[in-house]
Amino acid sequence: MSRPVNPWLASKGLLYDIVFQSADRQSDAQLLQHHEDSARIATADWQLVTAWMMPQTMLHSPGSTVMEATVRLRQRNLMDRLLNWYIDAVRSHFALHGLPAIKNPNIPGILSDLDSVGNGVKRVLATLCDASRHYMFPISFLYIDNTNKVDRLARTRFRHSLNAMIDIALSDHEFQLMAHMLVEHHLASCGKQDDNEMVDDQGEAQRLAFLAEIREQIDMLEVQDRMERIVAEVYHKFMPRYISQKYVRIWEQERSVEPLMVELKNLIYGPISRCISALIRRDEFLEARLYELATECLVKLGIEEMFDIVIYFPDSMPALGYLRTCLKTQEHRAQLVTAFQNACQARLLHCGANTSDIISFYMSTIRAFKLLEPRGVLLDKVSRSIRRYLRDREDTVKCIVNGMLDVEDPNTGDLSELSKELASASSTQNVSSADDNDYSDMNWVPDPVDAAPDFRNKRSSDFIGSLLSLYDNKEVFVKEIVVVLANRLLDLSNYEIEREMMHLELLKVLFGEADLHNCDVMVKDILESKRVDANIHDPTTVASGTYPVADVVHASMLSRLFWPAFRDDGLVLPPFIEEQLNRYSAKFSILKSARKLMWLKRLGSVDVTLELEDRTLDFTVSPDRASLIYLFQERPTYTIDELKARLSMDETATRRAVGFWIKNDVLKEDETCSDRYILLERAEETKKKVLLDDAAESSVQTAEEKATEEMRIYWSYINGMLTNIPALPIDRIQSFLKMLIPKEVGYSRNLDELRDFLTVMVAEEKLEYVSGNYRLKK
Amino acid sequence: MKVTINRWNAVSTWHWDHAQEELCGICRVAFEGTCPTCKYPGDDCPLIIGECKHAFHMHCLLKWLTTESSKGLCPMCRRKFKTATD
Ligand SMILES: [Zn+2]
Ligand SMILES: [Zn+2]
Ligand SMILES: [Zn+2]
Repeated sequence: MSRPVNPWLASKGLLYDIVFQSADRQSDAQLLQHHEDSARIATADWQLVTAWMMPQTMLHSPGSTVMEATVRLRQRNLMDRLLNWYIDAVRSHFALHGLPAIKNPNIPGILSDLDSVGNGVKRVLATLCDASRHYMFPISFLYIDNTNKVDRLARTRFRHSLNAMIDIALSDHEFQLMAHMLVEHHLASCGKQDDNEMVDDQGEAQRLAFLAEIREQIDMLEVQDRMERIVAEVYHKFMPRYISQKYVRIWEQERSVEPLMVELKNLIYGPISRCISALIRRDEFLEARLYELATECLVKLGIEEMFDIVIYFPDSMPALGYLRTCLKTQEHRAQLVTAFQNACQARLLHCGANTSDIISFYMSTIRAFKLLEPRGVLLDKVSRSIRRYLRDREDTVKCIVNGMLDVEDPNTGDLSELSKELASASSTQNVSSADDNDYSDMNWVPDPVDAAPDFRNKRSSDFIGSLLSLYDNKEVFVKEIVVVLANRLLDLSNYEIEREMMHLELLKVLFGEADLHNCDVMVKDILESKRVDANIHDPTTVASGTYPVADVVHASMLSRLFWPAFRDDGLVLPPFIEEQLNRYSAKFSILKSARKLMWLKRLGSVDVTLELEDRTLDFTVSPDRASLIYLFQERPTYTIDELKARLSMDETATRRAVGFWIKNDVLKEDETCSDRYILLERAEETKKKVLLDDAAESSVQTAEEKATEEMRIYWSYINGMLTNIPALPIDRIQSFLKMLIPKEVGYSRNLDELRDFLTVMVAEEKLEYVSGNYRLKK
Repeated sequence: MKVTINRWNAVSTWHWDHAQEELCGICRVAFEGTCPTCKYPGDDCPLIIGECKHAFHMHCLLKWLTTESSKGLCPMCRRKFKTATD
């Protein structure tokens, strides 16, 4: 069947003619049946009227004989019966002739363009409109009396049965196709096209006119509800896609349904939606439904993205704000918990992630979920698996303690936030007075219904409190604190322990005085050492039989039972120092009668200056390193065995000490004799040396290039990350990568390798490096 | 090369000269620890050594000597307790 040249002016009579002409020609058993029914009523009037009413091609106004017959039927109360007969007659007629015609319309099955779909729909609607008008014709003459209740009811009844017929006849398919296309067009053009552009479009104007016609047909057929339902369904399908296109992985931007609704409303009342509103009544109800739908989609998106929102917290705070206001239903809450826990299992709680990263993720989780729901019920639920996992990690306590005491440790990562929290008195007080039964809390509200039975709302959102509660007792922390504090106190120069004393006071608030008693003794030991050391160096206290101690030698004198067990495997110090320590001990024993000192020679720290032929270098090193380099004053080369013997150290420790000086270009391994080390009186220009060696250089470069090539698989992650947060320092990129990259891919590069790679990306103009941050090059 | 030591921070532990016994015979705590009433070891909680060569936390022994059952005897050897002068 060929399409009309101008689809918008399709002849609406065509289909109708076919239908009703054929009806005339066909003799039809069912219709005859009705004749027989009427024969049984056996009045001439009945036959006269029904013959005129019978659906047929040519409609003409009733003559006076028909009208008079109708009056007589009315008097005999047969009008209801007549209507029943007519409804049956129409139904049969429509089933036989109407339905087959519209069930075979020329509508493309595939969504191609609005024209062909709309045209097909319009033809169907036109046929139905004609049929409806046609079937209504006799009714409009016979049941015309508005004052007569029977007539009014009859008209309504007929209309209902007609509507039911049409409703069954109309398939959703055509509507869906059309609504689909309109809505898609609608959402796709959100914010893209402005009104003028659209209005100027002549095709658009034509389309509007066409749709207005369809709207008329829809109104006439009274199928508006159907149309609206279908449009709404299509919106349901498209809204999530639209929302996620607009908001997915964009977190630093406020998420809100309001600007979206402004946009949607513009569209509802704007040009495209003129198409839609041509089809449906644009009422507040529709708006409300769209609003609801958009809200639902945004909440769903937030639920799906919660893990990433936490990773990028606090930069992602704006995205969280919306979720907070909309996360109302139990269903959403449950979905959020499940989705978040699953993401944690898949992306965080595996051996590839650093403990410190998990802890800082946990801290972000605390903050983000507290913002989301201050009562903390959701937090309680989602953090259970994280907490369980942290408990099983070996270095969790170490990470937490290092964080609290602000220990710089490349292995445990940066958790200095904990030390800030420790320092702020308010949070620590919260921990110590964390009491469930605070009856004075005026803001008290009952726990939400989905709170777990053992839910305890911690009113403070403190990290330390949450982390300490990982373990049933605080003993594990106390042990670790003793170790950390001990190391810190022994690393000190000049006995300056203000920071440690402050930390200790803060820790006492958390853990109680009694548990940290050992730490008290340790701190007092250092204070006492400072006093004794001053006495030992005081020239006025020289006692007979002792010798003055050199100014450079100072000592900590520890109460050994209160410190962690020390490992001291012995060491031979430079003779000068050995002598000084003996003098020191002697003086100590005079100051403190009946007591003596035992030296832990490997412990402590030494400030040395190395004066070499071409350079002078300062170092603060451990005593074994100092003693080792001291030996090289005597002669410039030693074998490892000689060093071991002279220092009385084991091989591992000796090699480690040698390694330190090699790394600092003070020693080098003898190329002709391994395990023999030479002092570099003159610094070797190592780079120049490599350049001379072509083969070596190229092999080095290839290896570097290879590493960079291998790093490229991570580029998409870095790119994505910098799309969300425009500028990041390298250490945050590193920790994001560790967390973001799925364990199947894996990420184990160190910071140097990452820096090499980022440098290459800068060289390739994909990135810029500006004031310590990397960002995408526009 | 010349190595100059600018500062040597050494670490030591202090011990009582008298260390025949590790533990105080009265409170059973190490001498280098404290008696039950003291917080800090060393100067704050010194040792006392009898002529019998038995050593105790001073506080422990003084407390013992105030009890009636002590009768002024060393709790270890039951000899009259006298502080060693040397
Ligand atoms: Zn004692
Ligand atoms: Zn005492
Ligand atoms: Zn005795």
